[in-house]
Amino acid sequence: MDYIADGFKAAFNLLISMDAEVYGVIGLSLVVSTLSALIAGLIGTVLGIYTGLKNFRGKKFYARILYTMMGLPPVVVGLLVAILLSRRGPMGSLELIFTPTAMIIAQVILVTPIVTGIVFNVAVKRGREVYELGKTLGGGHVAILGLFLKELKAELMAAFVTGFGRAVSEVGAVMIVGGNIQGHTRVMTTYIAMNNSMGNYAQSIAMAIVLLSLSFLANAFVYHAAGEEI
Amino acid sequence: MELRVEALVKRHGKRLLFDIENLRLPSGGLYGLMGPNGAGKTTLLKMAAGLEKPDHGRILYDGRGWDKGLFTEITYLSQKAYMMNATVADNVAWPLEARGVRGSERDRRVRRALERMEIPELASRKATTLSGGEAQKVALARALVFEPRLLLMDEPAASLDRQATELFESRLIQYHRETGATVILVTHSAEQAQRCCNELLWLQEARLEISMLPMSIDYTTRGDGVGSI
Repeated sequence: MDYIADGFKAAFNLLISMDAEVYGVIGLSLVVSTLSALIAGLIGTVLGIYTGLKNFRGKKFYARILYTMMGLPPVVVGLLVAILLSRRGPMGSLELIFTPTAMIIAQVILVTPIVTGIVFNVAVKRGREVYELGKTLGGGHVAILGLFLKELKAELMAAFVTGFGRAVSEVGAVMIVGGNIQGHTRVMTTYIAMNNSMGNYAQSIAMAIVLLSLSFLANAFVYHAAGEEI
Repeated sequence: MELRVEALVKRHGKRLLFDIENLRLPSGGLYGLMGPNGAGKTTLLKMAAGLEKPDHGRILYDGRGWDKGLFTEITYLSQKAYMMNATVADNVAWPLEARGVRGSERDRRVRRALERMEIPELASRKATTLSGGEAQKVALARALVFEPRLLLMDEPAASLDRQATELFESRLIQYHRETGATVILVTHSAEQAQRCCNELLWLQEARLEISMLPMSIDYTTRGDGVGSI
């Protein structure tokens, strides 16, 4: 059991030593996951609101598909994106495989259904009421969108945080499309997986602490910004 | 605002909700809309508010068909009004801001609307913490602040106590008299229809009939602010 305690001690030392590789990995993780969550958040919010408010044929079936896609396995998404972006693939000429851009693409595909599903659910349950209020008080599209974002701020923030959490914690997709290349595409989760398989528990534990702390901070920040309504 | 209904049909699944051939509601009337539960009163009202589409037929507003611009002249008040997650003053100010009314003019009109409903002390309260009765008063203040020409109200006093109902009715009648707006009030109370309305619309078995109320109504305001019959 000593190795666990030693692991925590070494992790602490590693974190305060300002190790360049460790902080480079943390930085890349934050950039990739934040950008993925922002892009997915934007697409998911618009799509979720639109499809949630709109009455259309097959809406129930659409909802089933959407909820199923919320649980997309990361390795499957990674595999699909890798096939598309590999040198012999249909988008190989873009030379994106094993780059942070490929990781962002994979994470956007993974996170967009999650944000869309949550926002869709919110729009179905509460959106119509807000929309009708805005309409009957004479609001235009912009005013109603503003009202919608304001009224459902906490839920939309929760959708974004969930998306960010999914992006920053997944390992399967970024491992496949990023390749875990040191100094280029190595992120926290792939760093933990790699060091764990090599028996470097200190590094793994250090990065796990950072990962948990970041998730906590992101949640705390977003809920504070949303007025801590949840 | 004059309303003209032409061959309006609405179904819920296979059930015919209403089939109204032709009906004209002259401008400036205060109409009570009554009928059994499930007769389609709310659907008809929402249709007039542009929130629901008919299966067939149309409603004309001062002779013109529905267009989005009408949302600025019409308001709809539901049984349980939705309160925005903001102060009461911000709730009442929202329709004004949506029309570009800001600054001191907005504040003045909000203050006046709250005073008219006798709730100026609620201005800084968070609207989501109000009781049902307080929320309905705020909702009426918010609905009237931009002076709509057509007011569609779906049992707005259902959750109010007697005193609040009287105030609500008196303010509605006062607004109607001052502005000449057309008002349609869904109610289950024949007494309320007699107190407030000059004509009654009766929706039953998919038909809508209009009739003058049996009693003549004098809207002279009594000392307590309630219109008398």
